[in-house]
Amino acid sequence: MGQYIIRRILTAIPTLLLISLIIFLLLDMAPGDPSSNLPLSIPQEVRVRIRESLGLDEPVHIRYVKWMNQFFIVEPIAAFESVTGIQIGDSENRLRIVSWLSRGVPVIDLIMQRLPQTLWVVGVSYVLSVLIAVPLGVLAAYRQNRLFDQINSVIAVIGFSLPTFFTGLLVILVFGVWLGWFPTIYNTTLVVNSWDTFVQQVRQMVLPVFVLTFFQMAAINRFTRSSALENFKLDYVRTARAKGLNERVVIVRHVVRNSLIPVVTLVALGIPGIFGGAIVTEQIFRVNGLGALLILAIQGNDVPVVQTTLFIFAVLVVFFNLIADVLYGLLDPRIRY
Amino acid sequence: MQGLKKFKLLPMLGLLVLIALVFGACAPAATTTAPAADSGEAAAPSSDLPAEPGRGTDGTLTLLYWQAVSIVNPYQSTGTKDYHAGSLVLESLLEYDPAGNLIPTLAQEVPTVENGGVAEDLTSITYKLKPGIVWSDGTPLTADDFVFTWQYCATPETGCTSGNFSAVSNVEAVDAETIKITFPTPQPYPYYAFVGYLSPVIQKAQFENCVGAAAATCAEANSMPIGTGPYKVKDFRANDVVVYEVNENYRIENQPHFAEVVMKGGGDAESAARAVLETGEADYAWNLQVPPDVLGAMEERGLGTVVAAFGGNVERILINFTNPDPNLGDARSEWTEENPNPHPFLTDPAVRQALSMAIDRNIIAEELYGAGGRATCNIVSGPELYVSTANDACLTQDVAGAQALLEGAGWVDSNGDGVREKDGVELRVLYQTSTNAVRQRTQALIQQWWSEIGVATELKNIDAGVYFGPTDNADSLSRFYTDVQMFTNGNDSPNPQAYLGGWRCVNENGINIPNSANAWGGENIERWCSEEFDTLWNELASTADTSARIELVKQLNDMIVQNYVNLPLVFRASVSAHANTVAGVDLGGFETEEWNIETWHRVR
Repeated sequence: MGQYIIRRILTAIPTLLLISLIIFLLLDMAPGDPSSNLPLSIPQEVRVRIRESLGLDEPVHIRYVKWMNQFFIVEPIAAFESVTGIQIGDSENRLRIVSWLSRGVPVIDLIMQRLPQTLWVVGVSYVLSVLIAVPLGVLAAYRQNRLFDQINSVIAVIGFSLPTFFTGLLVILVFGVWLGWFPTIYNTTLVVNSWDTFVQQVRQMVLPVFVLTFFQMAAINRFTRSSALENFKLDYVRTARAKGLNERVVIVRHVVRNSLIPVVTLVALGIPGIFGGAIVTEQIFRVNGLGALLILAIQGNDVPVVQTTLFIFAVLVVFFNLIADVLYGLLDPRIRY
Repeated sequence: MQGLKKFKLLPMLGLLVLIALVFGACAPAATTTAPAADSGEAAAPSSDLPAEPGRGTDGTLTLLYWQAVSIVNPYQSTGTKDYHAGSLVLESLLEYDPAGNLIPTLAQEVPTVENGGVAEDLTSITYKLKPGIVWSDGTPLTADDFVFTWQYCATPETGCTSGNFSAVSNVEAVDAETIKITFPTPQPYPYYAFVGYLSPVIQKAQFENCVGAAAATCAEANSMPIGTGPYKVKDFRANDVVVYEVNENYRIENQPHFAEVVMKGGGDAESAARAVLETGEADYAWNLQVPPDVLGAMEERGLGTVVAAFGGNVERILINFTNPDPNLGDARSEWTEENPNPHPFLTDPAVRQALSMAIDRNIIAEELYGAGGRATCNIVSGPELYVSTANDACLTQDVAGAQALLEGAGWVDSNGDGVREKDGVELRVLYQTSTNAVRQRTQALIQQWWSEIGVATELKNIDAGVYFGPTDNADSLSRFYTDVQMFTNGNDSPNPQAYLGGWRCVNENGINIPNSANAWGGENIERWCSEEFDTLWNELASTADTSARIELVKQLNDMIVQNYVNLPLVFRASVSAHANTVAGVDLGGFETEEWNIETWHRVR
């Protein structure tokens, strides 16, 4: 196992290098830079000056090497310094990856600023959808083709097929505009330090979390159901029933345990998606998490932010793929590497 | 592996919950902000307010900026939203009221030749600061800060995005409270440097180490500049939210009235409008590019009011005077003094006029722009005092007249394909603009109208980042590889001199028409060259008398419009909405919408 993990990590390095190169070149080929958002009345020479100050006049390979240096050497040092407080060399003049739009703000700081609300909203909805979908899926499989299964299927299909920009607007209209129960604007500066602020935090999370849970639940629900269905037909279940075990024990100790193996890997693979944020939902409710950061950076041609966040997502995807594979081996003793 | 046989469902789920809690632990903890912007607070009842608004008595004001603020320092900004965010904190010497008149802010008075503030030869202007002004950190504002601001922006490596200092050759501190700005040539209108929201003064002490390449490392100064304005930044989260608190050192004693201002970003224009007009969660929403009928329906709920700020922006169609035929290769749309490369039919004034007459500007303005636009026939449509009345006839569509005009000029449809031609040249135009729902609908309407007069139109739209982007892309607007194109431009200062100067054939840098020799850097995108216009503009540039200047501006405007160099369509405004519980909003198009925010207060 240990050897396998090491081998996987080693192959991940060239993969990530290739991904970083592709991201960099694609963004370099994409037209536009921050100066194209300026009012037309700003003269050309000012625009040229801005591009030069952003370092855009240098050739692409030099900019790539600079960025690699910043990402793999400068940023880890900066992170180490801020965590431990130990100064390493000339940290004042080390050039970190900074945003173009918010000039001078390090990209990593922007990401750290956005992480809390993304984890709160997207993370909570992910956990919730797993907690709800798994029991529902097992129960639906147990009652295959009965009324419960059919209602559950209908809900899952609706959740799966309705895009979040539609359900988002729908719940805003119903619960925000007509009923006025929940705020539709997420306040990122809210500090939870009392019961009142906790209630406020919960209230502002209700609508986005509902929209996301409804959507994410569907896939996990269907997946659990089909996996459990397979297991219900297997001999060991019949054996367990023949032994005289009651249904509760058969389901919880035997069927659920076995049918969860593929579900757990599915859930693990979905975790990088949490960090990617839910772009549409964040936008609708002004959660302004990582997804919104990425979209705004793309719109504003803020190349360093796009590069860095995309690359971090790539690292997370590769990492959680590894985790999923390892988990699979741990959970299913039949699988050996 | 043995231990895994003990694997249970519940501990596994418990683990997931645990992960969620760990995530929760890194949730907002390091922030210092008080809770704000909750739905209840924004629409606070007016009963617990003092009878008269005083400093910080009126609670929290929530502004929604769906294009979120990236930076507060306007000299490093690349978007209008950032200028707005800066204008609550930073101030300049003079500003414009909604009518476009100059009023003193940090200066004692508006310098003129009469009061001796502007030199007789128009090559310098001298400002006196109001006495006793201090920065929000308590240190005094001095003339040195102005000298520094100019040096900061004039250093090329700073990447300063303001063009307001372009005519300045020197800024000096005569004494601590007197600033003298010198120009290399006479400036009949010297009010650019340190005038308006594009060119405020920044604090030398704070920005001293941010000049040149170091500007890119000054996160703190760029997001929390120290200013002299009514507010100071309390919390800044790039592209998300800016929270302001009262500047206790602000010079007017009982202002500003709101204790806290929250500028929340994200989302889209329609939901921002909804939050002000339908749910009352926010007090103000900026730049509501929302279809007029949708906005009207929201306003009917009675929670808020839609307002418009008209500056100088005009949506127009530009006519290409050079031949954009792709068969010409690199020579397409290329203008040189030796070879003006004339367009095969758009150089015929009758064709240009007919194109203008066929358009119903009122339909475009009413159906597509609503509160955000008025039909116009003038390239200078604001401020009011400069607007010519000689061209208003174009507001009435005249298809029959356009047909007769083309007929008379020899353009007839002889082969019956619905397109007029003359000497083998067919009236077929390629019409480009940026990708934008309203622009594409405008294109469709105009395509229909032009087909009615026998002009075939092919439409093209280009991503805004490319179209308005660097000229090295063949689709950028300065290259103009089509017959006509459409976008918005206008004077961002009430003085239209520089804006009109864009139609000169030759300017102080040489040829003003974009071509390969100047890397498509010229401003005269139509490639229309008129000596008469250049002469008249030079007269404007050397006239100081206001009424004579107004007359000259009108003449220049008429010359462009009556030659159909450019077909003005819609005078555009920025549309905003404010809650009916907020008083004091007074928009003008030449300052940010928050220019008088210190006087905003809750309705009592």
